[in-house]
Amino acid sequence: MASSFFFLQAEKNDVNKNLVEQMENWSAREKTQVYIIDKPLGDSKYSYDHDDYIVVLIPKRKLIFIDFSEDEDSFESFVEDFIEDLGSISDKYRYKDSIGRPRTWARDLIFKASDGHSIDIRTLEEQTAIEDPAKQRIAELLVSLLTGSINDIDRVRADPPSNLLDKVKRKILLFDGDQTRFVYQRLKKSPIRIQGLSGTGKTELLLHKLKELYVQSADSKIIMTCHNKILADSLRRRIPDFFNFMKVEQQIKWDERLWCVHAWGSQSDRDSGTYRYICNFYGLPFQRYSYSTTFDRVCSTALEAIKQIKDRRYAFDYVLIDESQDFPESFFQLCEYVSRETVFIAGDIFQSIFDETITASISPDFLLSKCYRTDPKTLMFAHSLGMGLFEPQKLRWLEDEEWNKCGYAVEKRAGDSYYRLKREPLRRFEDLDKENIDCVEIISTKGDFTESAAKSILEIVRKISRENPTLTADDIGIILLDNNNKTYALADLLEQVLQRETGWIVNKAHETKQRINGEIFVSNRNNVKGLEFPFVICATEQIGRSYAYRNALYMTVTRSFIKSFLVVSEDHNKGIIGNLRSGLRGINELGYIEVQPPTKAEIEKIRTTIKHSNANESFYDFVQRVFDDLKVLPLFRPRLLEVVKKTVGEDFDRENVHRVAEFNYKMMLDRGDIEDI
Amino acid sequence: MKIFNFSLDRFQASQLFSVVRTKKDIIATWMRAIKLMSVYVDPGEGARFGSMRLHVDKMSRLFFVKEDKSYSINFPFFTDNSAERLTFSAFACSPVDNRVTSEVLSLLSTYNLLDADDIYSFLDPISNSLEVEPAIWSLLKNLMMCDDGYIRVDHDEVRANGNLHPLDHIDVFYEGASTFKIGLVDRLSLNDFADLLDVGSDCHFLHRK
Repeated sequence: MASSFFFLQAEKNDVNKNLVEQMENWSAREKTQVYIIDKPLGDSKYSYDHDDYIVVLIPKRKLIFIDFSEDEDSFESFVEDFIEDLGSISDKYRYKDSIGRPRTWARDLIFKASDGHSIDIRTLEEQTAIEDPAKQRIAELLVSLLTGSINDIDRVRADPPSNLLDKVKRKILLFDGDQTRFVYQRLKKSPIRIQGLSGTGKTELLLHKLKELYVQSADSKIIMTCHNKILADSLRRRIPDFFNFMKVEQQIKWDERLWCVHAWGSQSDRDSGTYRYICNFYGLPFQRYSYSTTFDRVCSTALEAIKQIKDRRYAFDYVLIDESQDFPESFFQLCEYVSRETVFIAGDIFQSIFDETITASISPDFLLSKCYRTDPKTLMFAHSLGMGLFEPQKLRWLEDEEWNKCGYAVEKRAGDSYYRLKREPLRRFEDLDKENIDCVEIISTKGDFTESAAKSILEIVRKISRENPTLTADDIGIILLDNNNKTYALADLLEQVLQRETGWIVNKAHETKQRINGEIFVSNRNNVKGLEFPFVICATEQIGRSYAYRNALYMTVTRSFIKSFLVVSEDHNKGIIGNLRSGLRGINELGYIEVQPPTKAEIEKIRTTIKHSNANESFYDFVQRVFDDLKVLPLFRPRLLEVVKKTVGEDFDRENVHRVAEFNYKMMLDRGDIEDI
Repeated sequence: MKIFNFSLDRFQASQLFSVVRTKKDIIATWMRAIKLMSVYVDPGEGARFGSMRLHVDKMSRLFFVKEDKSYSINFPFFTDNSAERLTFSAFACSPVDNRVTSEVLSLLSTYNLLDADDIYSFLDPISNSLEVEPAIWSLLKNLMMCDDGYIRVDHDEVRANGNLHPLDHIDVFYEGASTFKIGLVDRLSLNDFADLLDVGSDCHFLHRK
């Protein structure tokens, strides 16, 4: 499988084979992006009369034109034409005002080799380097234009950023090899599945794909969909901005050519959901959402009914599905049956780090292993925290192959008794590495958690603000993880004190369900999907062991792209803070997770516990299932639940809960507690 | 009688004094007031831009007071001050705390529940919220049906216009179709305003001018 560092669009042949392979090896060795193209990507209108050449793009290096045709005049004219086209693309995306006209950059930033046969990687390495950071930046912007990774030039700007916050915020983002292949390759198959960890850029890629499909033909019908209505609404709002940004000339014909809705929909509006539209299109009765109707069943029923229809018609040409982990397989089958061309299915590699298995039953066409949202060190700590890797009893352990799928290189030491789990550094975060920033900081507070956490968060905001003079309200996300009234009290308290201190309006996203520009984001754990901030402050009184909680903790810590702060109560986490701090120190200093793997018996225990649980299940539902097994009479359940909670805490250890419940239930029955209830 | 006073900072004042047009605004004000009282932190000298007072007696009312404008609404909740912080509850839902108030605010603002034309757009979000708080529908129903008792005292130099819009007046009700003014011969203090609304004290009388 091709490396994510390397992308080849130009045709590889006997003439260029040697050099192309050298470049591919070099990119893997140097962990540096290399794109080999023969025309600008992202717009099909460019083509050239000249043959036998390649254009090599490497960020921060000169644009490299290599000819194998031995027709120097024709090659010269081709390079001129290519630069002219690049000039017009730069004009189209308004880069020109920042980087200047081609004549100002072409002289220093172009490298031509008219005799491709005699050129090798070493010569290229020497002759294409650029010293001046300002010129490096322009070269990088040119690469972004040629690969269709268009950046908002008002955000990134051409002048080199001076402080760390700006360096990361204004980083020029480039698609990697896997991402570029997904957007531009036209695979003749359906469905096409793309999977990756959260933060690997799946939604962004779907938007690029949507744009490609929308402009490709003038009358295709396309629907983009996901399970959650709020996510679908926010995606729908993003599309016009995205199309404007990508300079799409065609108008968006909503509900005629393009839909962006959640999967189910409501009775009153034909265009309110994918399933709703399909029902209308094929004249099927629509079943509305209720407790007793599962989406799986309505999809299967609809599919059966449509298969009975004699004249096969297609509701859509293309269907793009985001967050596919939220759907039953029957929904994909339904979409597949009603779309003429292709169904694109994008989803997380796992819905939760506690899914029983992370190896998808159908392997994806594109597997994105690099998470661009989060610094690899932050991600390593988040995984360790989520899976309890630094704790005596681990909550989750992956097989070597599964670690690989999640983007880890596994190194075993001392006869497999130690694991070193490493992630490759990413271009987006190279400036953080240089400045030696700790990716996560753990802060423990004493006394009443609501008040001490509010004080602590205020102090962190002050500190971030002192260290980053260009900080704005949008740069900080505060996420409160616990699921009780204290969390909401803390949010309300923060609203008062933060606004007074900073003058920034506090947006409590658990009430508004959206991110609001210019306001500081505060939320409970439920509204953080798809969000990222330079700084994240995450507060939780006690680091609990339930899967839903640990998964939320993992998700939250990965929302930052500079630094995450974890605010916890010292009294409630005595046993665990020391371990976490030393594990974190290891990641910060060594750059990898060093951990002792669980024994075979422990692995078996972890596996059984996970098997019997559902990461999205509440503790209440979990305990009710144990009660079902024990045939606990309904009358006893509320009281028994309280006893279980008091005895084991909200621990999802099934064996333990079963034992405690069984014992106490027997006591209750023996004592005839029923009279007290 | 129990009286609790709270100073408001500029953000709280601007939120709690935003124009009341519909029942939705009143419900939001109740929710915000409960939040504020539950975790109140005094804004400190120089940062006070208004005040809020909770009267708990036979009548339970909230008063919002600014330099030239005061208003009062019914407060249909029980108040408990036995602990360090005030706590609140309602017949339909106990407690009405920071979590429940957030849930109600989210239903009102995110889902625009009270503006929903289609019954399912009204129903679906509530049915989802029931999973978080089983009492949410009873609470919301009571708040929607409850008489909010809105009354406002204005000292309006900008729009004063003889007897048609007296400098000092009381506005009763908030909807355009039902609101009307009663002129005042002079400014009403907060205590007079509270006394006017206190069912335990003597009534006030209207004198035709």
